[in-house]
Amino acid sequence: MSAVRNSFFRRFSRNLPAVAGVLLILVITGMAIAGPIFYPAGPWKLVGRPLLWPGEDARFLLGTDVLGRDLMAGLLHGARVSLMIGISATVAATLIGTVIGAAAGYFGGWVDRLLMGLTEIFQTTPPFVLAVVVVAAFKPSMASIVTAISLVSWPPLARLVRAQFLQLMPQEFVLAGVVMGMSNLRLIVTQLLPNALTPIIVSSSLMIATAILLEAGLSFLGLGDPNVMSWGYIIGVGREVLRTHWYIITIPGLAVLFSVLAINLVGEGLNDAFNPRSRSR
Amino acid sequence: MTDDLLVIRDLRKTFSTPSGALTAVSQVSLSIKRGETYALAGESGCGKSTVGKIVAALVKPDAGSITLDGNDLTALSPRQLRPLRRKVQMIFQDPFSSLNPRATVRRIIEEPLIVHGLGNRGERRRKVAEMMDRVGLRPEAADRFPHEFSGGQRQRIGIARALILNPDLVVCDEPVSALDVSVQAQILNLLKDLQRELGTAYLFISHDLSVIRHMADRIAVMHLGQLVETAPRASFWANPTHPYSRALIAARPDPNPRNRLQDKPVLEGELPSPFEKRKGCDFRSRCPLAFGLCAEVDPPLRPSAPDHYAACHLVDEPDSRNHTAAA
Repeated sequence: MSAVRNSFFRRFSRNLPAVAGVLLILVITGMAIAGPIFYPAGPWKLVGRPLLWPGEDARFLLGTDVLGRDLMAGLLHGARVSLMIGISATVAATLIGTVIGAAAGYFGGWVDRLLMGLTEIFQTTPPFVLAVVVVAAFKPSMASIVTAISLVSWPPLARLVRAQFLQLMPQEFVLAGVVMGMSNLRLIVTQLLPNALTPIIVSSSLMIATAILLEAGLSFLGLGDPNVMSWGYIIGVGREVLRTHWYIITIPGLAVLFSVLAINLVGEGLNDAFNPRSRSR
Repeated sequence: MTDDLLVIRDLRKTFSTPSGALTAVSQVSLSIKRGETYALAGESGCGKSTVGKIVAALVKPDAGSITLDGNDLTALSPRQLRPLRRKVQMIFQDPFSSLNPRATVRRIIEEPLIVHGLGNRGERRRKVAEMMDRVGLRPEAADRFPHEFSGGQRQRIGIARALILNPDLVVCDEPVSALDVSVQAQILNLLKDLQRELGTAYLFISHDLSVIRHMADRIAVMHLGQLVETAPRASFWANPTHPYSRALIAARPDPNPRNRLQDKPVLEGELPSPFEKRKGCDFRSRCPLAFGLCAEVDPPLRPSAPDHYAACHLVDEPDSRNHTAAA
């Protein structure tokens, strides 16, 4: 195992964009941790004159928004919200997608047709519209937002896991598991899932970026959790003064851009490190 | 009859494919005795692997019965079948896809014991080390992964996995055909040694008659899903009766350069489609001895010598032996 791990890390660390992505993610995580430390009063507090440009007042490095809230506080606390929602929605979507895809691929027949029918229903609905409907149906809160995002994100993963299972099932090591008397669950958990894990990890890592974007979009529309300030919320509030005070939406906008970019770089890096073209498996 | 380990009666399996129903196996009956090697020979696509998969309960037959030690396997539900599975194990053809790439060798060999709840951790580890030693692998290599081994070594891992449950029967589906010739003999001898030590019976599936000659106590030749000849080893090699068996034997490479392949009868003619319902003998289109009756009646297996059966119209005629021998 150590040999495999080592060559994996060597390949990953030789990939410069991926390493840059990791560094960026570390910076964003650092921001999320720093938020409550530097701004224990929270991002909602009105601290100064509204619409101060960055640098105009030394106390507010990034300036203030329409109501005089510190944009730096909003940026740091927003990192926390974005990361939390991105990761928890992805974990939930990965679980749903893996269970549904595994069941469809393993059992086949009517189970497969039923589950894939369900998946297609979700896939034919535009994800953002569906997420808006789900959040609007409940009260906007962290829980309902995570639910909505995971509900619209699992279908591609279910299809991926199903395809992996269909490819693995005829392989002889799986037949050997059947011959030795493994139960369905044991076969899925010990033989099939470990061999389907690589693409699941790669596409889940990319899913975090999509989840962050979805959350930003929901908050922009005013469907964010009113108790937490996310980047999308800041953008939504700042859009009214876009022409005069463009920095208000640009700062959180760049934050979204860089986190999504960083996560994509890492995801691609993982993909390349797991499946180098040179190594045929 | 009491030493029959496995008895198969009138097995039939049809696969539905996009181009219609394909009859892979029909009317196959055979019985395997404890500790013997029963070989299934035939060209690719003749259904011999399907018979092996049915015996290992990987494929459910459409008709017929498989009786293992008095238990009819076809009558059991998957759950009822599970405890019986430890009696029949399988060695696969491809040493690269037959081992879980994400598991260590120890885990792969230990897995059957875990599945059947045999022994505690320490006992299982000891058993794995013992089994690795027995198949010629260094027990210290137990923590490595399959990709670190060569094809022959991987096949040894597969053999250890199949034999650790001490099964009564092991289905060997082309166990050496993916290996280098130099490694083939090592694996075959290993299988023979293990059989002597453990008393396991083998259902040995191969297209290679040289391999079968080395291994088998009893030989069955399959052609297009049906058995055309079954015989004990001495009688089969001394007196192959079905014209198809003779053609297969003749096509075997001969190490003596003076016996050129050109001088031998080579099969000509088309194999009939396995999709259609056919009348008469399936082999007649390629048979050098075919005559009128062959197109009309499908010949059943008939005794040609003690315990030796062949499905050919020429078998029963008293003078046919001389006639076919001359051909």
